[in-house]
Amino acid sequence: MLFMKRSILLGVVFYFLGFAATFTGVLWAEGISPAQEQEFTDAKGALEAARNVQAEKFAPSYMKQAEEFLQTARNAKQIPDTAGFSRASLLARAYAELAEAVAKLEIDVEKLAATNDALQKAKAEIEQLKNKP
Amino acid sequence: MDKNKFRILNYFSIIMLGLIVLLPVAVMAAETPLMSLDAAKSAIEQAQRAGAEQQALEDLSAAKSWLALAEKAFTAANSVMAMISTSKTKKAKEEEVIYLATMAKIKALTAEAIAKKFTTAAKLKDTMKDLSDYQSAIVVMKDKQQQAEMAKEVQAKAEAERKHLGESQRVAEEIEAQKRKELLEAQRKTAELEVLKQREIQEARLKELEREKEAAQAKLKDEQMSAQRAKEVMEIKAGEEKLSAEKMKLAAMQTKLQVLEQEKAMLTAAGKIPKVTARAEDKKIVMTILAIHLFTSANDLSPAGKEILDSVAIFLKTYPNNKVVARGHTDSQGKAAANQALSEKRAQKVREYLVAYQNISPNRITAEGVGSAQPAATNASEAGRALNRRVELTVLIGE
Repeated sequence: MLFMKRSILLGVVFYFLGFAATFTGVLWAEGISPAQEQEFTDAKGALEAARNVQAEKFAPSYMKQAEEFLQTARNAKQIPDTAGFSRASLLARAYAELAEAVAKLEIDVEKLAATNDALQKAKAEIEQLKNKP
Repeated sequence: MDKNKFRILNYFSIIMLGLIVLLPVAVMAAETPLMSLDAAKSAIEQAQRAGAEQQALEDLSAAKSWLALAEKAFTAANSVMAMISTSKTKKAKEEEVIYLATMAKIKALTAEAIAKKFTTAAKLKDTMKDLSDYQSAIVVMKDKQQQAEMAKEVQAKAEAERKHLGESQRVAEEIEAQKRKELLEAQRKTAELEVLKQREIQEARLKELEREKEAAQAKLKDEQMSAQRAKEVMEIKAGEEKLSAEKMKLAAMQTKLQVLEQEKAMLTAAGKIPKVTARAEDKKIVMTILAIHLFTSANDLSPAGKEILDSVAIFLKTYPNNKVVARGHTDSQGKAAANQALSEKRAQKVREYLVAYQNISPNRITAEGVGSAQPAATNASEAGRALNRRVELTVLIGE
């Protein structure tokens, strides 16, 4: 019972703290630097590169994360929240790069599977040819 | 009012109940910095196991750097100073740790994916190579099998042709046997015919021989008769020839007799010529005149010698058809060449006189010298040498 009370209190406290922090960030916000803008642009580029290798098909969760963080960055830019903008941009770029790497890996895995399949068929065909009278 | 209060109280109760149920779950599900750090570490270890140190060192290093920053931030967040800081600051620091750890985790995952991609690409390359090898092997095997099938077809064709050939050969052998049989039959018939023919020929030959025999006998008879007649003719001819030969022999004997008579007459006539010694030899009369009677010491004809030659000329004119040879001889004294020349000169002198002064035909008389080669007497004495120095006039008879 005591644990539940503490949890409720903590939840309420965090809720209000988050709310206050949001307004505090708005009040203390500074301008977006060119370097931060570049990070955002890099994130968009990484996302585009990931799309080019069909990352939405092969790594949908990471792509979703990247897109969400890119959107978060956009939102942070509107406020503006420079720290949040920077973090979200970096996270978006990192997730996009991860999605791209995973997509590339999956493409090769698919190719490998197809090749293995073809190889097995070839082996089977060879066996069949061997056994052919 | 009571109803509204009750309603508000109900709503409040529901909200509170929701908060009581959901808040602990939310707090428990919320990501803590420590969890984030553990997750990042775990991701880095996994990336290392995947070979990221070799294939994705840059991302792995980045992950480690982010992790180091996260750990530093975590240490700072749990320091004594942080304990006494405000909850707002503490929350911000925890979020910072979570952010850094998340970045480390993402980078580690990226490194792992890249490393796995390299490994997979290598496997893919090997597998594709294997596949290519197998496909090549399949092509080769198919080719071989196709060749084998073609060989089988060829073999089957060859077998069929061999069978066909065997059949043809059998038929040919049968035909050949038939032909051989026919040939033997034909040969046998031919032999029989030949025998018959030979028999006929022999019979015909016998008949012919018989006829030939008869003809030969007739011919022999004719020939015997002809031979008899020829023999008689030959005997007649032989008689005639013998008679002719006898006649010729008789004529020759008559001629010889005439010659002998002429020779005798000539010898007698010649013997009458003064200073001339005559003798008869085979069909010739040799008149010898010593040089001492004919020539002077200068070997010119002496007047006495001319007179002797005039007598000789008369004798020669008596027998105008007989050839005459004037032959000079010397003794053996002096050189042979000189004697030869002297003998020729003396013979020539005699001939010239007879031709020039006695009109003896130059075609009738010849002159020659023999030196001392044919002595008439010994040269050892003067008397003999005087006999050897001479001119002989040989008159040929019957030429």
